[in-house]
Amino acid sequence: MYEDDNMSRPVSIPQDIVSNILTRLPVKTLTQFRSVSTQWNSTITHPSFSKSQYGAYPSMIATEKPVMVAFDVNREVFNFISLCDNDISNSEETILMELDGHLTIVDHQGLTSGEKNVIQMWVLTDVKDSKWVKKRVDIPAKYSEINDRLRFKFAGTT
Amino acid sequence: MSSSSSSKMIELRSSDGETFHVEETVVLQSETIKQMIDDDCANAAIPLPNVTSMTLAKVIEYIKKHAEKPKDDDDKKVAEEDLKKFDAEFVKVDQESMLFDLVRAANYLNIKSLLDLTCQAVADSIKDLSVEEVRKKFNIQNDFTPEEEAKVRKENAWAFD
Repeated sequence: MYEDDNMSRPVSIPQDIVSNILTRLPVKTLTQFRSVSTQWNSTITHPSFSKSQYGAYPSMIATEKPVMVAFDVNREVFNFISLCDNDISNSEETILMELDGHLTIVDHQGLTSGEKNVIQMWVLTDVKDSKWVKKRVDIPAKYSEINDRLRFKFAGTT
Repeated sequence: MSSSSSSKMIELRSSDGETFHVEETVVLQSETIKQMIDDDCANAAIPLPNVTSMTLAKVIEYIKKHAEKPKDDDDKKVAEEDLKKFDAEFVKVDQESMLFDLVRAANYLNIKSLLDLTCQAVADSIKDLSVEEVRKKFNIQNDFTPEEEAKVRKENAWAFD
């Protein structure tokens, strides 16, 4: 069933082994290696491949819960941060900003609906455990007259 | 030579007809062979038509080393260090084709730690190679049309700096 190729170069490596080898390579190298052949290209770009490469996060990918994907340029890895359990994650428009060194989400809704002089935000206090803490900020009364269609602009955001 | 006299010996036959006698406890690291033994197919020599005697000898060297049990906790630390050194030396093979043979044998025999070790060694050896060099190493024909290849390269130009 198998010819003895004791002396010769390897004739071919099964694709599942190639895939196993490729999962151990950094993203930049993989991106180059897409040019090796059409088969390597489709292996590397296949959705199941990236899943196996970032296999440390299978439960997060498997859930329907919305996540924020962050790419760490230094270590060339993706990080997944689960979004807070509230309607912000379903909102079409949110603002991301930094508050005391924490990533913070401000909902567009939080700015305009409900109580006019309150801003609701969610602060990511623990990145590892995706822990979000709700925070309310009262707006000085003189701004509370702001028209619904107007929005605040936060420094550092557009 | 063997310290244990009670362990059953299993006979393995390579693709080129050479036979090897290995203790059952050692050979159980191969899921494939374990399955054969469980299925009672190991009364005669187990034929391994995908593995040459040269490769099988290396594999047996590996599983024998990994079957050694440390006597106590102090010994355990030393043994772990020793095993790490052994693994590092083990994948430094003279012939490149040997590494690929080992990968295939580990895959066929289903020895996970050896498959991890050898796949990692291959990955380390190719990570700084050019696309052209990788094709040569894996004996792969470039089957892109010139237009397709130019397109893929262009899409991923950032990775080629």
